[in-house]
Amino acid sequence: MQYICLLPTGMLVLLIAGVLAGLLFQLPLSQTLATLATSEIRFALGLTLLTSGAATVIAVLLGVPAGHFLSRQNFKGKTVVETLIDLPMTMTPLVAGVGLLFLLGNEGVRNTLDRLGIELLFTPWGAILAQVLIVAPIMTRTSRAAFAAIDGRYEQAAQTLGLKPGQVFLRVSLPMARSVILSGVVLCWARAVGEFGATLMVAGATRFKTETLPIAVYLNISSGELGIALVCAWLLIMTGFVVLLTMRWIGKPLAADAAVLRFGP
Amino acid sequence: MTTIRLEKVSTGVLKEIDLTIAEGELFVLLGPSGAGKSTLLQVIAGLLPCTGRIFFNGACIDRLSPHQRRVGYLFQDLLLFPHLTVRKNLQLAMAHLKPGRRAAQEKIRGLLDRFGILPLADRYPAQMSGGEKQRAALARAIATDPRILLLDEPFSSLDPQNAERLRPELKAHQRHFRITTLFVTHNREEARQLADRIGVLRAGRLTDYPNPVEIKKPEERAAVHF
Repeated sequence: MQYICLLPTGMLVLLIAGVLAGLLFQLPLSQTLATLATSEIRFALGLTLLTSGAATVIAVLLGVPAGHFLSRQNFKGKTVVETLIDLPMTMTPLVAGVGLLFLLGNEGVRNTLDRLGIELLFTPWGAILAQVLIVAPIMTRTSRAAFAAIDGRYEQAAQTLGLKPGQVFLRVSLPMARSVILSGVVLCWARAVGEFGATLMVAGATRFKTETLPIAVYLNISSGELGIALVCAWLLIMTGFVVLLTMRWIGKPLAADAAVLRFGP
Repeated sequence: MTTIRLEKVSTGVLKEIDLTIAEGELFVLLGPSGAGKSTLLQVIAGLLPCTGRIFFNGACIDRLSPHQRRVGYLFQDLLLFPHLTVRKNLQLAMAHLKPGRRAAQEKIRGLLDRFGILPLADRYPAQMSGGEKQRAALARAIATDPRILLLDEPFSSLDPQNAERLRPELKAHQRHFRITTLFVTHNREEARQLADRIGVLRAGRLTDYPNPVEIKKPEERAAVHF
């Protein structure tokens, strides 16, 4: 049986390694290093970190309380609300972006934003909003599962100890769910870093303005600047690699946390 | 010290419960599973809605949220927070009292010492035995300076020897702190050992037995047999 499984495993490893090698060996090392120092790469990297970081923070602020609410409350239409929140995870990001573009382009919404002096379309703010649309449902789903796994009576016990609802959330529910939520945060950030379709629709693809790493790959492939595109692609791959390593690193305390809850440290 | 009075308290399970528990009294509520014993505790703690009225020292507390009622609630499975040590469980329970840091430390030390678990202060609940967790949970409930102690079958998860040893301890602590206490159990012997007064809850209706010794009479024994 083990030998039978070895073949598909080997094929999968070869495919992935082939793709990585295809990207890696296109450029000599000296050219890669020189390209890394260009202002366009530095800009794309900086903007990516900024937008993905902001989108992740907003997703946490929206998704964690929403996840707690959905895990604890039953109300009419809950299934519809949950399905609606989950929907962006199954939609093509490009389509989600088109929807957001139409929403922000709506005259009423546009006039309101103009009056408030908020400019979202074709700006980095638009990129953040697009990324929030894609990653907040992931955060909500992860948090909902994390809180649902905790016996709600711990929260009742905390209430009888004199803790207000906000204190119960911050001092009991959140710490007990922290490991799962933390892994959700890392996943959200990774997803935001690589977000392309929705960002393209809402923020557009303008060099040195809305040029995140995925947008830089797209722009430079389109204009034949293969070097910059490849270096951006490698930065994205490295991000994914770091995320996977971080997940494994979180995974150890996660297992340790579970052990503490069951057996003590 | 607090007198508790319930007037015509009803829920889906409970039927017009009238009950007064005097200051410092240990009232044991005896009844079979599903009779509504835990429901009554949850109603008093504000965790479940009800009709009727509840008074603490003559003041109606119906509109108070659970965190404002100052009840010490010992759940059947204790519910010590697993991510906190025993010391931090007690610290959290005292957070709303806003004591000074030193006063809080002294109070926690005193309580842990009284309950015989001072050496276990920095252990997590998962590292403790059933009896130790029982003591820690009771210490946590008392750390809140409760007006009433609500105990929901706290010995049901312990082996008979441990339960036998802990009952007089509980009674001694209750006398020491002079806390009005409502203790729920389905164990008649436990009720007789602990109670100042016993009530029997059957199908949501309460019968009050002013003197636990009365339960020894054959007709009373038949009444509380389930």
